[in-house]
Amino acid sequence: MPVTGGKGVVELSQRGQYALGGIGRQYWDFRDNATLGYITGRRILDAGCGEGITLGRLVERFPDKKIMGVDVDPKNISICKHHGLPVLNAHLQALPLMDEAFDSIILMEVIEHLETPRKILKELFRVLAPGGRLIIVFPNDMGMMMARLVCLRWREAFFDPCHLRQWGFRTLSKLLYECGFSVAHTRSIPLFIPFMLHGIIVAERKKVS
Amino acid sequence: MPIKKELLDILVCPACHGDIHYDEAKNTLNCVKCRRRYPVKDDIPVMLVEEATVAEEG
Repeated sequence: MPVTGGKGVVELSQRGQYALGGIGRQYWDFRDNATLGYITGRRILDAGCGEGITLGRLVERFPDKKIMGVDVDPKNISICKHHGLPVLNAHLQALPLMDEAFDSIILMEVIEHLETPRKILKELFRVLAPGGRLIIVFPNDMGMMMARLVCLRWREAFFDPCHLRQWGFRTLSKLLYECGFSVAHTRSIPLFIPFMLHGIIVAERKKVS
Repeated sequence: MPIKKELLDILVCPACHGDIHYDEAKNTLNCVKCRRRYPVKDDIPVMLVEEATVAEEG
């Protein structure tokens, strides 16, 4: 979730949005809780951690696990650092991390921003341990816009977040298979399609028998 | 603050996947294979290939 918006748009800060509270924040918490429920193992990577709201939640929720956030944007890194979060400044396409170093990887509202999703999913496959999980959360742009209009959040509703494409369960599952993953679960939140605001896909790197 | 050992244990060079050694005096993370040096800014490793410098031979 980079903070930078589209053409001529004032930046929207994630922490600023979150601080607004209300139903937006409640939904944000719900989305994170739904996602965190799929985590497995001790070593967790938040890939594209942004300003670190979810990363902070991971650290708080799982004090016994080894947690790391990675982001390419130095502004996001300094915000995370300010909040005392464990981060690395790196590109998802060339992670400075050993093969099979993590048991769970979260890719939260990142894939829709990626110019090279295939390359990045292959890189995430490399750093994921066999038996580990990649948990991807992607937004349903039309659903989000409608929800924001209903909640009178005009600025957010018409904010251009630089989403390069609208992913769906089918298109993303296909790419995941091509990158070596198998898809274990899919879930639409908060409700079924067409009342979907986000899709969650839990992909696994199968153990080699 | 030095870089934690548990972080060093999983760090590799993003360019060549070589092992990383922490140079405490220069506060850089150095690849032992391709000799790239990655800066540490404000205690955070900057492991971006475009931010790396390459150590001179010898």
